Amino acid sequence: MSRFRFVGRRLLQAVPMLFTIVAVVFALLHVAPGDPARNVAGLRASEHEVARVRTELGIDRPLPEQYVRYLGDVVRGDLGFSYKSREPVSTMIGDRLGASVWLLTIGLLLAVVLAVPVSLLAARRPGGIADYIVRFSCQLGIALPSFWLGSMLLLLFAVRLNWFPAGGFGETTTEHVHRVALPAITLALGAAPILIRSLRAGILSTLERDHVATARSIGLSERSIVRHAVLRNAAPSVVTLLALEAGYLLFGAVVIETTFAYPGVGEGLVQAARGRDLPAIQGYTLLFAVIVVVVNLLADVAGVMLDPRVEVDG
Amino acid sequence: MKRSLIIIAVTAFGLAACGSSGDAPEASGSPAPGQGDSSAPGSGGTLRIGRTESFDGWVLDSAAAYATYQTHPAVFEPLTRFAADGVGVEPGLAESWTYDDATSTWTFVLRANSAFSNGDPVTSADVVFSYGIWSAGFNFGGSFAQVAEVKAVDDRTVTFAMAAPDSTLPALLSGSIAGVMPKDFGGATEDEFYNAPVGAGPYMVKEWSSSGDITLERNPHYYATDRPYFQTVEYVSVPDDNALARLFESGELDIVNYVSIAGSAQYAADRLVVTPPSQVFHLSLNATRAPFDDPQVRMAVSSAIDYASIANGPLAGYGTEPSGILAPNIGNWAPPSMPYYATDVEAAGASIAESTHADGASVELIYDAANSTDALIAQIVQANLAQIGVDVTLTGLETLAFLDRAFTIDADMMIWSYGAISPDVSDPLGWIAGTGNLFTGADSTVFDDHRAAYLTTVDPETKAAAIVAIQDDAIVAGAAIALAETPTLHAASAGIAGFAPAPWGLFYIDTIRDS
Repeated sequence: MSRFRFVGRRLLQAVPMLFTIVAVVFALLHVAPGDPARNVAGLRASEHEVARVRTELGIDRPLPEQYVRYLGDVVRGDLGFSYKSREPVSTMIGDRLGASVWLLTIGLLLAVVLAVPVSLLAARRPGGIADYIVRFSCQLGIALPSFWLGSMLLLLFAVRLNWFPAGGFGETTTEHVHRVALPAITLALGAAPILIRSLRAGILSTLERDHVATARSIGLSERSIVRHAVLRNAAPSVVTLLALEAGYLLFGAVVIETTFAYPGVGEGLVQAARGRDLPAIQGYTLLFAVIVVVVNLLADVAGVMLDPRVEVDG
Repeated sequence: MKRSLIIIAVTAFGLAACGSSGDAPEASGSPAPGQGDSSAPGSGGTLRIGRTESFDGWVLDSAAAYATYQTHPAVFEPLTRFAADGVGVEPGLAESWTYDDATSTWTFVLRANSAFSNGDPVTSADVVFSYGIWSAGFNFGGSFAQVAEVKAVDDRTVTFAMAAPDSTLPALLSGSIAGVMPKDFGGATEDEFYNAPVGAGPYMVKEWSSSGDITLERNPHYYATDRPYFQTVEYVSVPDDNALARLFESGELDIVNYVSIAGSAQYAADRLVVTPPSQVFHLSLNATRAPFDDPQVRMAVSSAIDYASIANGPLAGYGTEPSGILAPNIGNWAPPSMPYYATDVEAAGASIAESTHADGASVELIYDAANSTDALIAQIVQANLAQIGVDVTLTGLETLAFLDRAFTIDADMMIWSYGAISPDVSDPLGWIAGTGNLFTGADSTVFDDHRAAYLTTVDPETKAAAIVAIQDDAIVAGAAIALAETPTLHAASAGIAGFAPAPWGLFYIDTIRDS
């Protein structure tokens, strides 16, 4: 099977997955107890008026009918209107997406930038002092909850030292960089330990392979071996791992954005949930699910492209 | 490679940190450079206000969050404003008003220089149009039920003919639900208007989003020449209490609009602004079915509650033992003529022994699980009632599910709290009337009569007697039990002055200045 056919097949496989996600998101929120119409009409509205709102919103219709309508809207890119502000949900998400893309991109980059040299350092002498420190630090990093780590960074760098702002995203690129720094570092410190452990294991396994021994025997420098033989071989597994971590990072961003008062989609989801804004909750949840599916799809494709040994027939 | 990566990381971190000097937000509450002393009228600077609530948009009737009640009057000024004491009423867009006893009609005269932020003058036609919007609202439309007709007499004079004698309209019109907007939305469609609202308040909308991040700019056409003091007001909505406290602590906020009691310990005591008690936590008993259809059981519950523990425990010492079921420190509030409930477990035991449930009862108590204070109070109530043989099952519910069961009076007991959004006791009376007697389902005939007596008289003694009767009846009925009274809390930086919340929590931003 050609690689293009493989990509096409993976794309097709993603379609029913996305439909299933839409169905699950819709069902979960609609079977939950509570009447959104009361929230929309207001606490002082009479039962008659609440019933009118129920009709206006269409939530008095049978659930299958509501689902078909919702699905049709989603396919057209219409995620509905906020129950709170009448604003299109797609606009609400769009307003916040940029901040989250900044956070996730810089957080991931920092995690990779941290993980590569540290894992190389640890793998250079397995069981040595550096390896021990790296493994201990990774355990610590995995154990520390991001909200605690974020709070500590906030207290130190924003409140005590006043080096960074305690929240927000700012207006200019400089402000974005300045304000994303602490949340991105928190995100990176949370994501890096797993990357480091995986990369370390990958590097150790590669170092034992024949082609590395051959490279050594023909007199290539250690730096050249690492760059051309070890890291290149480890790259596909890192890409796969990053994709697997995308979900973790995305939902980690909910906590981190809330901790840092960072106006991304994670904080938007929390705010929508607090305001019981059903269409907004559905919109954000759908976005998160779609991102995870798309990132995993891209990782599969990237894996095939990066590693010619990967079979595409299966 | 290792060294270069470390250098890059350190440099990036350093550059990001250094950004704080070059691009830091201008010091909170301080004037913009070159704009002089911001305590002078018409100066500059930015006032930054943070809060955890989101914003419900600009439709006045859709306001549900206090953050929204707080924001609307800055753009949509009403005819009147509440006084700093939170009880009196002062001129807003109307410079004066009179009441005609003979015809039960209020006449408001608009200021000659009042204008919308687009420069158009505010006329009586705008008020008539706005009244149509207010009264048609699902949520607050009922508040205007006493108004029979609103007429424009001339460009600056508008009359409100009342269905009965009235003394509460000026107070009602000071509420955020009665902001004045241009006739026919100034030619825009309704959706266009609420997306880019135009009002005659001290500020106009520069940017806003439903997230609650709002930027307001001074309205150059505002009638007052000495207000507002700040050129710009920025509202920042942060859903997390802790993150909000950090923003305030780091100096990025001038005011935190509503500090939760649970989160108050994060603020320096001298930065907290604590109003007099104005909110009532209440335990509502379902009087429509057993066991609380028996007044003796209700009396037993009222005597078994440990009011002091509630005030000092979950309410962190900010609570005070209740004085009545009506939220206090509001205009025309009056205490009951009899002592309110006190903890007396022996008397509670005697009451339950005389009731139809002498062997005890099993009941369910629901509360909003999103509110940690309510959850703690529920646990105290559970322990208190166990002493008299009433077995309480606690059910914490998601807010919508809680509201569903509360409004359908479906549970045996529920805990909630309420306060006011305008300066007259008619406001909490309206809330009680609209919630099935505070979610008890108790017969409201007597309450309705007293409320009508209060609303349809101008005689202060008759009004006071009606309020006392309502308070007394609530004690005798024992269906809605006040558990504690609490203040509202805000935090304010040392850099501002003129921050004066009414006892019931709302405040005007146009009076706030740089100190």
